[in-house]
Amino acid sequence: MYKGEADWSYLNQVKANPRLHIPVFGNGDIDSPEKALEYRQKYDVDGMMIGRASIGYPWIFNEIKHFFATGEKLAPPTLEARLAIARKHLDFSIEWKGDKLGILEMRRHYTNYFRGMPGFKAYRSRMVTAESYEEVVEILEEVRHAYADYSFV
Amino acid sequence: MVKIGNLALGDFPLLLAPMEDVSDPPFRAVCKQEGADLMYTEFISSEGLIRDAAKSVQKLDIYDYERPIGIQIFGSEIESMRQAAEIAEAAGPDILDINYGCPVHKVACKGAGAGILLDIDKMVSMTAEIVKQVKIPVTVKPASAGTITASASWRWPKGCRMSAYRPSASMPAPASRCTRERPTGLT
Repeated sequence: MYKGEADWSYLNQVKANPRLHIPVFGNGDIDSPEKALEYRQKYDVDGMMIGRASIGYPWIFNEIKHFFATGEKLAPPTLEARLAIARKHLDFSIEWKGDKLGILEMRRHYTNYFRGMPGFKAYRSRMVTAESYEEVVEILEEVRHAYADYSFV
Repeated sequence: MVKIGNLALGDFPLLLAPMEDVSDPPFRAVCKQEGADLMYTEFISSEGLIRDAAKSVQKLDIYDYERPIGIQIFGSEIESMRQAAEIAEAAGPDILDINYGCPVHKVACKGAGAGILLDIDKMVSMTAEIVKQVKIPVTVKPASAGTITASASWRWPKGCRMSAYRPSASMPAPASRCTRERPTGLT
């Protein structure tokens, strides 16, 4: 992954090349619907590639599309949506990589799915040390109850 | 309507970038569900693929619900990349993408990823060779080809269908530090 900012102004030069007839996509630093719109208007690109910002926040794709289409921001994903995505990711991770590696490689994702929730640290540290699928599922259930009334802004 | 070969991707497609250790099938499943229009696998080592290394071969796993999906390969040797392209195509992706952008030391300093930007002629030959090898659209993802690809005389080899840039004014570090020579033509 890259450090530092991308310089999208290059893309205008690339697209200005009269001999270039293939689509050109920009990649780097897009982390919000507002920034996506700003860059879409400012730079001559045919589409965008999202990297880092999608880790733990796959909703960014539909959020950007909605913002382009309506000028309005989608409400942030609910707790239930976050739990469902984390669970889907976890289940597939285990199915594809096996129990041990599946659980291990999911650890980096939990923080992001539940970013911004006050007091989540205690749950997170249990999630990243849990060694069985059942244990993780149980902690996710606890999160469901503990944050039932929490609303994301 | 943006098209890559015959693939229609809508008016302004949003793509999931290939990310090492991240863009695996479980992660792609959630991104697909939430609106990614085109996704890429993690980058896959051409040397690993041609030697049938388990770690590389596993990364070829793609699923029908993920379509359209691209497989991304990297490497520094044209012949290895040609063979790897053949292997990757057999896995059935919609697109084959070549990584010319990875800045990580162990990749770039061996002349793969962003390292190939130090030898633009080789990058062009490699792209042309791979386009010749496969029937699916070939796309490229350079970190920065700086002023070269922006210049009026530049074109990617015929058959190269799309380029996704992670643009920057200079060679991405640490690729810029692997050689004592300054890359020519790159600003």
